[in-house]
Amino acid sequence: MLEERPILQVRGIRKRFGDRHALKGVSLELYPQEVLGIVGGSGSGKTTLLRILHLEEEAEGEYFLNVPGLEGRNLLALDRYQVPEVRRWLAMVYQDPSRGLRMDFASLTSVVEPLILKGERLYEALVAQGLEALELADFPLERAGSPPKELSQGQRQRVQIAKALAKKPLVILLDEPTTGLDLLVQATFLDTLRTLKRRLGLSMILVSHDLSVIRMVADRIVVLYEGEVVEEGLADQVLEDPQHPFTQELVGAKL
Amino acid sequence: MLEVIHLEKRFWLHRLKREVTAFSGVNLRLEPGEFVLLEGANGAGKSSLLRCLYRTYRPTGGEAWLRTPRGRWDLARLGDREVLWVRQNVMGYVSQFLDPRPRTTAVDIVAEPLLWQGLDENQARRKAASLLLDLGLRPEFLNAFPYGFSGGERQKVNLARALIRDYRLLLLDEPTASLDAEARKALRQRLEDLKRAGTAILAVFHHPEDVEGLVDRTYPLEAAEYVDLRSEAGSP
Repeated sequence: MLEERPILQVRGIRKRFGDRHALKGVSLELYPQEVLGIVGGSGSGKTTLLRILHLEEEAEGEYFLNVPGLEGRNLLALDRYQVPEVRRWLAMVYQDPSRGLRMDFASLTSVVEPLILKGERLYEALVAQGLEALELADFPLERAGSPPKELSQGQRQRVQIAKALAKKPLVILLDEPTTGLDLLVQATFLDTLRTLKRRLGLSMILVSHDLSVIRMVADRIVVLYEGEVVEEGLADQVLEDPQHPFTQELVGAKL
Repeated sequence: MLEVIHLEKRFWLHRLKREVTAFSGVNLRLEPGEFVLLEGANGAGKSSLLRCLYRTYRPTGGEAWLRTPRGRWDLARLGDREVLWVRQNVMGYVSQFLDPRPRTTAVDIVAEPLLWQGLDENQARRKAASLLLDLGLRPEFLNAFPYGFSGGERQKVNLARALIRDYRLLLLDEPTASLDAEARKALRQRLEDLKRAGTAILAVFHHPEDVEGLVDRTYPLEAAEYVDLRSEAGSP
């Protein structure tokens, strides 16, 4: 009814690790300027799904990004050398910052790395864009020269966000970005995500086991359970009128 | 504006292996500018009906046709994306309590629906502040986080968020329960203006005298039966 098309769409994603079926046919859509929350327990397959979306993991099924040059192409069937072309539209924020950042070098270095990969060589331009991204991420600029290993966990996650933003992606994938942060740091971090979504019109997929994190930012929620989507809906709907036994238990445990 | 046909809501509680009927067989018509008050005892399903129309709950049967600028849509079957659009453009809802977002100020909570509409941030904040002050919020609270507010102050923020836009349909769930006399008067005035401008209102009021003279009709809801599936084999 709305003419809007999803910016990201997956259909029937399957993934096996040996005999274990991690994902058993997952389908979902992400719309422009939307935060989609994926909630699930450990072993639900949520991190695996995110890694597949970031093309870090191969899988069966279909995966489409609605961006110029990629429309109608199944990204799971691409050759390896085409992966960078897809990745330029995507950014990933990891639970463990050392997976996304160079812990021993100035934070600014990590932030501008995707720009260098994109071909930017001018030192002044790199610094300017890096600082701009750090500022958008609400990172204290006077610490831009400090390596992530000397920063707090909350600040490291902001450097990861800045690195994601510097790339000017269409979709940011976040894997448990606030796990391990204390509550106040978590709240201000999620507040930054909400502001960025509104100001920059970004779309995000946020994976978390924590319903209270998801409810603070998600427009819609997908519930993963043992490798399957067992429920999806508007955020308030899934939280207030959960249908599946797992979701009812999860919501019940929260209230 | 809204036509509800045989609407029903049942909850299936897995842990209790039990089905609970919130309401069933609701038939209701609401014209533009009409104010209908829902009546019924505790547990009759008044709040559930409003939540089903706002689609916080998923109706389990029946229809609810809403007139929108994009056509006549059945809220009972509408896709999630369309529901979001309806919430941002056609229909407002006020719950009994505000569930404040951490680290968001009162003004920003109220200004948000104006940003959806495309207003710039400064304009939106000015309008939001002015409505909050009309409802009697103390000026020093405008840029504070509502987590520390009293129940009444929070409710002013909650109300203002729904009243800031001229929605065509307003759903109000006991919005005055925690309000002082001044705020009730301001609310009444705002509802009167909206009604005159053609907004349809479906509401539950704990103290119907708050909206005396505005109500066109009342709609009675009767308490639905509780069905315990453990003892009644063969129930739906």
